[in-house]
Amino acid sequence: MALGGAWSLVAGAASPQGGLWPPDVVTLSEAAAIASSGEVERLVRHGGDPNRRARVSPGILTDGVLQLTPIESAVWSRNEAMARQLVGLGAVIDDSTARRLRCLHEAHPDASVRAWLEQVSTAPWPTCVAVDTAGLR
Amino acid sequence: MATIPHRRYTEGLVTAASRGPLAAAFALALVITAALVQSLYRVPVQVSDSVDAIVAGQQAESSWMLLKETSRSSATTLRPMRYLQARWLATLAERTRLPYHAVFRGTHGLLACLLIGLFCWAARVTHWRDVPAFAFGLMVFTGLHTFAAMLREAFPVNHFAAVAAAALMIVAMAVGAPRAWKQLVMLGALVWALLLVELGVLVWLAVVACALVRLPGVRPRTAMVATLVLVVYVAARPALGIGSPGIGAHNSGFGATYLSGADLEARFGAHPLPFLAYNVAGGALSVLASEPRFGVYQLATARTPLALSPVVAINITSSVVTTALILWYAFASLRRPRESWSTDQRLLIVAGVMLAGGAGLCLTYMKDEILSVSGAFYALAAFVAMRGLLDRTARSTLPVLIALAVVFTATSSLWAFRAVGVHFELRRVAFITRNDWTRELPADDRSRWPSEPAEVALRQRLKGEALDVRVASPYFLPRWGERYWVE
Repeated sequence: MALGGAWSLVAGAASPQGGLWPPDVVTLSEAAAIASSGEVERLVRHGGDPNRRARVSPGILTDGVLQLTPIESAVWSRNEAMARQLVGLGAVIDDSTARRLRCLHEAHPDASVRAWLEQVSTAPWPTCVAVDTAGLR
Repeated sequence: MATIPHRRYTEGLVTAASRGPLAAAFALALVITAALVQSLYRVPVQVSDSVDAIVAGQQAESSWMLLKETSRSSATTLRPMRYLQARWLATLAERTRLPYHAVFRGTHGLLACLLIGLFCWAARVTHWRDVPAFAFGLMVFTGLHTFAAMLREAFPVNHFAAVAAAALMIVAMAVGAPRAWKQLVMLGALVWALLLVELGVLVWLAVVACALVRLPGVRPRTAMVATLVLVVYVAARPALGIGSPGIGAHNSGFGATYLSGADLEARFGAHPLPFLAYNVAGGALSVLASEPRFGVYQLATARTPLALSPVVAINITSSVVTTALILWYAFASLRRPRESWSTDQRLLIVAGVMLAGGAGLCLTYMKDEILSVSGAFYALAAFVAMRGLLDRTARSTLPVLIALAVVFTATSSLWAFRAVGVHFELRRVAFITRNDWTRELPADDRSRWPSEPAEVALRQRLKGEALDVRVASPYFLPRWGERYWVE
């Protein structure tokens, strides 16, 4: 216990990423995917763009690397509260984005996310073919 | 049963022979404390039960006005010191231009250092054979669920930790000579604790218990004055319009289920005695056996022993073995005449009294925080009992020695594992606490903002500092941690 504590102290002091269970280093899209609302807001406050695509590392949403906007991450991870937070922080949803999100939702359905997606755009719900996630990689 | 050897303490704790063991004990405590403070400092200042106190403290015209206002602001609690501390610490932050996080979490970290330092002082390591016993007691202290309760929240300072520190300080002082300054410090600590939180009554209990077992550092007159202070406090509460919460004021568990206050009132309001008895007994068992937790018996929810959650099995096993050790020591050592009791045996009685006192305060609802003082004294009893066992083993046979070594190495390992779990829990708490701040001052709903510009500025600053604290997401923490550390 003492040896572990000493290691954690020294490693933590040497590097912010050192020590036992260090803080996350994630992109805005990854933070949205893992429901880290505090990290989402911190990144936006420090200049992060809630409309820009960013890397989502393997293992978070799929086994491969993805390039998603934060709000796409939120819809993919079925997190309606995160989607609302992102809009509050400046994420823009035009008709094209809404169409894309609605089709993404078809692959990852959730009742509360659907209800929110129905509100964000007056455009009719699209007929979606299988979402080409290859384009998201 | 062979007698337990006596240990005698002198006022001059640090002798030439004791320097080495004492330094080893403090070094061990220092490393463990520093790691805990590192984890604690990564938890942002919380929103609930914290920001309102800071705001109220800053808005008051003066400390005196704040004392008057907060002495009458609640129908069930008398906690003006909580608001005064918040005001003074916020003022310190303003004047030194330090971040609020540094001041408030820094204070919490100092409180954690004080708790463990006072535990070291009360333990009185004097021989090398005491060091493994101390290590065992320290693991019990930091691994017990009541210790985590003193770290995971702050209001904005964790008053349960403050009361536990005051009670440990009383006992540590009580073992030495009865100096005049000690009596004044004890009484001052009592007044401060009573005005901080209702649990402060346990500081009175510590003074009286130490006096009753005739620990030399507490004069009988001090115990009488402390009792007078308590009487004044108890009389002042109704005069200020402050009552005590009854059944239904808080949620709590019963059996295998956690019930709302409304459910508890409906079920026990007319016949409260069974529920009151359940809570008092459960409070004691929670410290002695790590079950129940918040009034709920996890054992009752498992259909078979194999279905029992690993965390519950670990907690119960380590606690039951340690409690058996304490009971063995108590049975073996307290049968001699009272006049011949050593300091360790008197400390054991005090620990028992503090355990009972904490359990008694769980009368209407049970939660870990109420038992935090009892948990500290349970750990002190564990140290005393382990020291007694190690003294005894000098005359044991080899098979007995081997069996004891296996049992207590395993038990110590379980406690160390539980203590590591405190760091895991603090990571989870940090993540949740920081997320809570995103609901404060929402950018897209100004109707939920306060109307006072000064309050808005204060909340914005607190929010900015909280969001800037880097935390670990549970997503990246080990998945098995939930099963082995979280009940």
